[in-house]
Amino acid sequence: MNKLLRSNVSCLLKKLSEHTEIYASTEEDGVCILAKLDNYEEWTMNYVRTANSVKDVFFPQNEEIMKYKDASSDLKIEAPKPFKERIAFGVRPCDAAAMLLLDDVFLKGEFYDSYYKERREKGTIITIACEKPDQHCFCTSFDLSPGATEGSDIVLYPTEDFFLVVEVTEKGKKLIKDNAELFEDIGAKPEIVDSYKNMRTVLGDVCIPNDLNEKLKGEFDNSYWKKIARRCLGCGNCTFVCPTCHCFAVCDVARGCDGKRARTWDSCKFQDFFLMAGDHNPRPTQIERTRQRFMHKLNYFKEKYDKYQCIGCGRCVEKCPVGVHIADVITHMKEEL
Amino acid sequence: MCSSHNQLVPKVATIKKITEETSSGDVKTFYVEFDKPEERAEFKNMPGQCAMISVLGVGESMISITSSPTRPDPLEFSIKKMGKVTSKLHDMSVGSKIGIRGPYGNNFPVDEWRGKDLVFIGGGIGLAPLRSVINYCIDKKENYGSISIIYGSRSPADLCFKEELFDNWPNLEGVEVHLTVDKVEEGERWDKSVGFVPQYLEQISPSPNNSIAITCGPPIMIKYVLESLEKMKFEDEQIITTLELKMQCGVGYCGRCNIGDKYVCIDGPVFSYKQIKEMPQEF
Ligand SMILES: Cc1cc2nc3c(=O)[nH]c(=O)nc-3n(C[C@H](O)[C@H](O)[C@H](O)COP(=O)(O)OP(=O)(O)OC[C@H]3O[C@@H](n4cnc5c(N)ncnc54)[C@H](O)[C@@H]3O)c2cc1C
Ligand code: SF4
Ligand code: SF4
Ligand code: FES
Repeated sequence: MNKLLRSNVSCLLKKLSEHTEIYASTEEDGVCILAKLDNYEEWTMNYVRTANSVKDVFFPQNEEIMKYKDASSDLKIEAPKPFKERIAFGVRPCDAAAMLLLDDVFLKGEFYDSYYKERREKGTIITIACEKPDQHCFCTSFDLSPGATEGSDIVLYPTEDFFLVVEVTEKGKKLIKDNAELFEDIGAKPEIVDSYKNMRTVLGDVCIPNDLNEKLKGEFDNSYWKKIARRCLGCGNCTFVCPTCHCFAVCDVARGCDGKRARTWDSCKFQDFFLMAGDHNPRPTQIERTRQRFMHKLNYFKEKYDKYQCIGCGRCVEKCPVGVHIADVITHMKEEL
Repeated sequence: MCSSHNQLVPKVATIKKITEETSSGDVKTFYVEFDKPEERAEFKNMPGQCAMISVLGVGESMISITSSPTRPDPLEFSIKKMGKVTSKLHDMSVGSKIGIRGPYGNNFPVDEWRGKDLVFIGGGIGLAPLRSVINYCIDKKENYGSISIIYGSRSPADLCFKEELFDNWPNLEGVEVHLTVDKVEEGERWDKSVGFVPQYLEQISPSPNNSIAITCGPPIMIKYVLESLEKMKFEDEQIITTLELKMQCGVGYCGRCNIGDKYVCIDGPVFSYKQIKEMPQEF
């Protein structure tokens, strides 16, 4: 196993930036986010979870799908230019694992999403294991842990003054080999990795989904959906912060005869999300939309991909202004059903 | 299937001809050709499949391909004026450029229907998706038994595809056309049935023996047609319909066309009544 000195991280990021875009955990206005870095000294470890997740690096909130010219007479449509190689540094294990769920949606069907696919192929994820999960974390509910490696290319396990480096994929291995001067082989240290993998989360110990998907099948009309939907403000916060939510809207922006088409994250919690021409809305109130969100994550997705569509990052738990969140739904439904 | 290129970027096509289907002008059929022949060759549609039609600068709409692959060119789309995109399409003229991507969705299970009698039941613009499969089965009539077409609209002026309904289909051997309208204005000429489609269907009462019933139309019509078919002893597997939900991507990523774990854009739009009964009733 290799070690990487904390003091070598800026150096590593700077060197990697010669060929790639660097997205790293950094602090802006007192909030830790994952953002494109220009000053490589500015990375930080001062967070439990970054406000946004690594999803943004591969599926940005807004992106241009295409440009067009001369809409009426001699229409020309142009796909965007190729993307640059990118590295995400300081990702949490849960967020890295969430990428595998997005892969199911964007890469595994009959059609793949070219934008996402290209970014994924050109992307490397360097994860830092979690030293102190907080009261909102429940990755352990989904067979993950503060030391999980799913979805990462490299995982860094913090010790007092260095990171223990675990290479997970060939991509990760190559990155270390190409920058060997910054790493130092210190032999096997499995006990450090295990101590992270065996860590529990408080919420994860009470929020245990098991076969909840099966039990939810008959619960479409359960009055619990109504009860929690009454509180929901429809702000969409929960969906926007979620590293596994993938819904988007497509919108055209015209400037005379030219223009572009973009996609932008959207939310099943919004009133017009399902609204069809002629004013028909199959999910007209927050009751149907709240049920849709939780049934999607806990039943439909599981039916389709045999996984729950949540990795327990705790963002919706922390950020919902009225306490309507998935850990509560799981805990409540497990008790009731 | 064609997953090898960027699905969200449409191909350029030109409107070659436009016909008004209804006298109120709310439904028009667009005859469309891809600008590049090789892009037409890649577009391999089956009856019941749809395409995303783009008006650049306005947006995209999912529209059934109403022409049959047995009559490949031009591609035909019958479009009802509803909102942003469809209204802009209605303002376009011959020679205008649009974008097309697809074909998307599943198709009518025409191979499973071999040797069976087919009963098509449509209302209003719902004849558009049925028309592709009706003409497909007519062109391969040797594979199928009798074909009955039961179709209704609000008024005689609102019937779509009048040429086929009055001049072509009724003259073919083994094809019957039954028409009805909700009401006839004073002075309007109409010598066929007056009344709603479900009641008219029960009056005609096609036999369920060795038959398949295929229905498309406004949700309220479909609801009562399904009840009528059950009364007439059609089994759930013998009844085929299509579902419509809001769509933006057409390829299963944007997340707004699901019913339970099915996405109408890729798993539909064609479903049997049996499948529909197993879904959460939320459409
Ligand atoms: C599988 C399928 C097949 C269809 N076939 C036909 C057809 O052959 N002929 C026809 O006239 N109409 C058809 N429709 C309906 C047609 O897609 C909508 O009427 C159209 O998208 C409305 O767009 P708009 O911009 O005019 O309306 P707006 O109300 O301005 O809608 C804005 C956007 O929302 C989406 N949207 C709104 N309503 C619908 C809807 N009902 N279905 C899907 N997306 C919607 C579209 O992306 C649309 O551009 C079909 C719909 C589906 C799902
Ligand atoms: S549902 Fe909540 S806890 Fe689960 S992944 Fe999404 S934001 Fe995180
Ligand atoms: S964050 Fe809470 S209030 Fe806002 S839409 Fe989600 S559940 Fe509703
Ligand atoms: S239209 Fe986007 S998922 Fe079906």
